[in-house]
Amino acid sequence: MNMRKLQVIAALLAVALGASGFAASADEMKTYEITVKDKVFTPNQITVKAGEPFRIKLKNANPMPVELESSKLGFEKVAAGFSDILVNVRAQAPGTYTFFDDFHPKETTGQVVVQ
Amino acid sequence: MLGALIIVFREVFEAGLVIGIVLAATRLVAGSRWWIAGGVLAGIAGSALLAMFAEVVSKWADGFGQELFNAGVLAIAVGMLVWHNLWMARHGRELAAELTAAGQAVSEGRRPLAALAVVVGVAVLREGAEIALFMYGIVLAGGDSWSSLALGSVLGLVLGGAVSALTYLGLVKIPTRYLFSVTSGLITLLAASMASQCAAFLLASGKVNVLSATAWDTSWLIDEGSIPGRLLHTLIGYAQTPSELQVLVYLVTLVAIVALTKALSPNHAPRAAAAGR
Repeated sequence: MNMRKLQVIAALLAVALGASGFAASADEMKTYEITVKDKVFTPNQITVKAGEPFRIKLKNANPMPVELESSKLGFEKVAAGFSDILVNVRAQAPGTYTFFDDFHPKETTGQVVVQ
Repeated sequence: MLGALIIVFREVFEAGLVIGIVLAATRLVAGSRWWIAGGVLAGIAGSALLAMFAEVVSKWADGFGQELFNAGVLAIAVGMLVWHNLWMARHGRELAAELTAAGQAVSEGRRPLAALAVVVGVAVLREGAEIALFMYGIVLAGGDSWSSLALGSVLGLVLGGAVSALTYLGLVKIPTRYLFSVTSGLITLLAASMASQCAAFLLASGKVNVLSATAWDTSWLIDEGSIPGRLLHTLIGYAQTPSELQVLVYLVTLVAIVALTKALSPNHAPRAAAAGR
């Protein structure tokens, strides 16, 4: 059992190390800055290129935390009061995608237009 | 109030399901309730700490600390679930024999309860920090509506507890001889689901960049944010737009657990050993 456990752990480590070797430099990705203040995203719409990964930098100008979320774009991340967060977004097919503050999902929304 | 209730309920839903499954899986194990309660309490305490240091965690790893933290705790939970299932594969037959002989509970420590306590703790921690931040925001915002928002949040928590209770009560209706197979199956799927979420967080952190393309999009069929979507997300790891890496990790975890369980199961040993007990 112990031997087998060790083998499993070794295999997992090998996979993890192998995968990290592929880590690309994310600095080349285009970053779009959005500010959230008083339940409003500014800008509340950004346009990005289809098929290219990108980043969103959210500046939270409120004292309250917000949670930037979009299930279709695949992110869900909390920004504490008066702080910034970054999210990586995978390459997307053309279309319009909604993102929102999960703490005010109806009021605080924005869109990513992929074309 | 309803808004706050829904937000909090959606967050506790997943943890509620996990707790219900673990409670049912360990129903006959003496002392299991204490371990699970300990896991929940540790998860709540961890959530409060994590919420307090959210900004610090965020700043780790060039701004991707949250993702790496989530990936890390999920990996730990997967390890614990795998350990639990393999342990059960080795000892399950003896336990079943004892169950039939004694007609009821087996003694304490006959199961890696600590492993399941960690899994429960992780499930609570993952969603708990968000709830803590949400409620902190309500208090901070103040105003007239804060008491109704707070009430909604508390009701959301209560409803989450009801999900645990319903899951547990539903599962324990299953006859004991099948319950073991059902909960082992659920725990295997839970492990695959958590492993795939771990992969998703690694990709989101940008530190891992393999197979990052979207494998398929089933958002038209089941919205991940809806209650059926969340249910499937927790139980079988449903993701509406999974990356290829998520799909691969999910399948590998599933196959690995099933294969290891088969290999370790005393089924292959002479049956006399089991029958002789």
